[in-house]
Amino acid sequence: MTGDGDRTPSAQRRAPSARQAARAITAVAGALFATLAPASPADVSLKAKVDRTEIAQDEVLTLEVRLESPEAPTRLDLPATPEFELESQQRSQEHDVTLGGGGALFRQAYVVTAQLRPTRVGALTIPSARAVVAGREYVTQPIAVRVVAAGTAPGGSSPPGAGGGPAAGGQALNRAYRGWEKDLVLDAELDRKEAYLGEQVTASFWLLSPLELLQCEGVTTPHYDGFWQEDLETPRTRLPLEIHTVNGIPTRAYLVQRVALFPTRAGELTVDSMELSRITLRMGRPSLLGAFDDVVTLSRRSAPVTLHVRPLPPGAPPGYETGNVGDLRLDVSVTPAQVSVGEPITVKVSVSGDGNVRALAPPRVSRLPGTRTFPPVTRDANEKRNGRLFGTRTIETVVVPEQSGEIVLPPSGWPYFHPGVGYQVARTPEFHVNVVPGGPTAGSGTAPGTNVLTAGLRPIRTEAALSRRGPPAWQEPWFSVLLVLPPLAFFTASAVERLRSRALSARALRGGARTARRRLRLARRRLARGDAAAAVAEVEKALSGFAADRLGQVATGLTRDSLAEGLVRAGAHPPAVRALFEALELVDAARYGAGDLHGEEVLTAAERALEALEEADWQAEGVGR
Amino acid sequence: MTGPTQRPRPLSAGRPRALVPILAVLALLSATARAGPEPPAARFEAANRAYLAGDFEGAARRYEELLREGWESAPLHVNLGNALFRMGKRGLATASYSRALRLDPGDADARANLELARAQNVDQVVGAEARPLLLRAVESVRDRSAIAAFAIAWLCLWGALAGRRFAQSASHGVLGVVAFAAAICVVAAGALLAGKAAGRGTTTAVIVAVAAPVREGPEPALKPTFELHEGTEVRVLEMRGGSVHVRLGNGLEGWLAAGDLEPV
Repeated sequence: MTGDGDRTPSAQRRAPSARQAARAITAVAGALFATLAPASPADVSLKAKVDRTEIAQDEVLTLEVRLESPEAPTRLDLPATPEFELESQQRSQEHDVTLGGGGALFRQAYVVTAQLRPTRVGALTIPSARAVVAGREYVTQPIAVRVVAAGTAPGGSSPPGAGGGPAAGGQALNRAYRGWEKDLVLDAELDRKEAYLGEQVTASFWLLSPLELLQCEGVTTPHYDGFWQEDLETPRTRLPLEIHTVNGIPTRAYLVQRVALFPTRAGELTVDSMELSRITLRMGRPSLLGAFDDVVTLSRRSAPVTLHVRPLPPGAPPGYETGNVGDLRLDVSVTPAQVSVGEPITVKVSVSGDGNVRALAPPRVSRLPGTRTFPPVTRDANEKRNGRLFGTRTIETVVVPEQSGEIVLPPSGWPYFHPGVGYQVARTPEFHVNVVPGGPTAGSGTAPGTNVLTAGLRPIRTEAALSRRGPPAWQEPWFSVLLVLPPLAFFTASAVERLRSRALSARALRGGARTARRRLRLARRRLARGDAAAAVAEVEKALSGFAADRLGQVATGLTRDSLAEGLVRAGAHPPAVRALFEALELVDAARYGAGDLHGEEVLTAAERALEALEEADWQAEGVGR
Repeated sequence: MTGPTQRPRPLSAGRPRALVPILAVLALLSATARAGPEPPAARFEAANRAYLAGDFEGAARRYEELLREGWESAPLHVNLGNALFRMGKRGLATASYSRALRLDPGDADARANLELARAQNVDQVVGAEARPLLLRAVESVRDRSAIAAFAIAWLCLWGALAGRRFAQSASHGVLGVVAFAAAICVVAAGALLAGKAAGRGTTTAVIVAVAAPVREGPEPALKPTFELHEGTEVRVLEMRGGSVHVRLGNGLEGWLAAGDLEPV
């Protein structure tokens, strides 16, 4: 029976093969369509259905609420079912694209599945489910269910066990297949049904799945009340896969956890349910055009399993201590066989085998006369092999003889319980240690009271350059000085060098200018005497000499371009260089020109050029910058 | 006529009396100086003699006195560790060896004895992440070596820059290469120093109690979630009251009583 909502779907779903082909564009196109075209009420349908309408009270009913809509719902709630107990719940999502004459129709289905167990007998009702899409509310019709007394399952309507699926109670191993979700089972198994108190029992939790497992999260482990628990195998990332045959069908089995349990009390002990709240399975591979797996997320809970724990039988040998249970072996060693007085003897007692080594109480060395017996050191080592826990408990006792003679460790018996055989007593032989006179070899580092565990200790140092404890070197004042001083010295020296260079340059400039002016005065006097040629020659000497002084080389013979470049490089301003060249042009014109010799004009130009050159800062390029 | 004869005064007749208190003070000072504390080297040797005679408690007491007075060296920590180890105090010995290695990471004796002590730990930290190679490299260098490397590189850098600035142009290329290489060394040595300084800021500790219950919070009333045993090394994250928040090598965290730990 179904409880349809108040809207029906406007398009039928395509066959699975078509869905797979279209899945590639589903995600993108669907999102696009959903964005561009708001959900129309005609495109939305909400349905609720149950797998049967008549069940026994001890059975589980499956309710499926299905919302088909091009747009994601803002709410999709299962109905509150006060007359049913919610066993488990799963949510999944399906995508569908229909290609027809009217174009592509994108459709999404949101499915919520719940397993419900009735709480009473009679005519019960599953109330309406509700969904809200694009602000509109959609409601399903209530569904009536008839519940009969437990054990009187209505003919033909009883589900075949559901494969121990979600909280299937005691039906975990009754795996009749009815839909693939029924075959997803979290199975708890014990390697035996009965065990003695303290005997090792292995519990394994397998996830049986018809589909490939992608991820498994939200593991709630049982409490293991009444057990001493030791972890054997808990995969953290990828669950190991085995193929198990269930009812003749090969099935994927993923190991979720394996633990060794040691019952701590007799009677019926129950291993609680384990729950996996997020099991992600791959429904199908992505198509060539798509990149999205079709996945479904479900939850499962294992059924509790019961172990009958028998108390240990009566007739325990004297000295038996509770906890000495298992398939065990006792080894004792005493080394060395001969020592000097004051040298240590190590008595090592080891109990090993299949059992809870942490609960074992191996025999201890009692105080021997004429010796100092130190407190024993206990060490445990566990080994996980073939799904069982094996271990060794070792007790080392150091005995230091204080007098010469023979030390005798008498034979002893250590009772324990072997689950397959019964009470056993492990016997140790008698040990003799010969103690000879002689003091300890102090120089070698062995001394009375020496802890034998220090064997191999490197000796003390006889020399030590003791120094006062202080802050680390990088917090010392000298380190700050080291950091600051070199750059400070560098920049100070650079600044001094620059200042010195400037001073020298200024002095040279003043000296060169004085010489040039002297020559110009001499030229003026010669001009006044009427010797214009000598005056012009003197002017040229004045200008060339000044330029050569600034360039640091003889200027005669340089082309005008070379001279200009050199002067600019030396720091002369271009207008000053132009003035110099004008004066030199006049000199050349006066010397070689066919016209009149204008000595006064040459002198004036030379003085103007000299002034301009003096005004330059004469900071050579790249110096002090 | 002659006047009363003046008997010549014995030479320094009154001075001995004046000198008595001075001599007494000097003698007292001398005696005080002789009875003063022995030099640390002599006390170290005395502690060694006690150790070799089997008096490990006495040796440990003397070593610890030297440490309390501010004296330090890697051998001093190694010897104290040996004395504690032989007394059965493996956790404290582990802390001493770790301190020796912090002072001198190349101390082979401290490393060997530390490994010996660790080998007897009850707790095996499963899933502990391997320490990064860089961190191990930083720890393998002594503080002094790191400082010396940095100082040399720093001085070379500025020396080369100064030479390039003031020397003839012919050697500018060589000095530039030297300055570049020195700058790289400065960066590397600076990173080394920074790593060492950061390492100083990290507090590690060793469990010294035979069994130390670890709780989820600092409140002692909380039920212990697991137990750590003597010799296990932890990293201290926080201290609150009498409880210490620690982290194991595999990331497991919890709170311990401060008395169960010995900081390194």
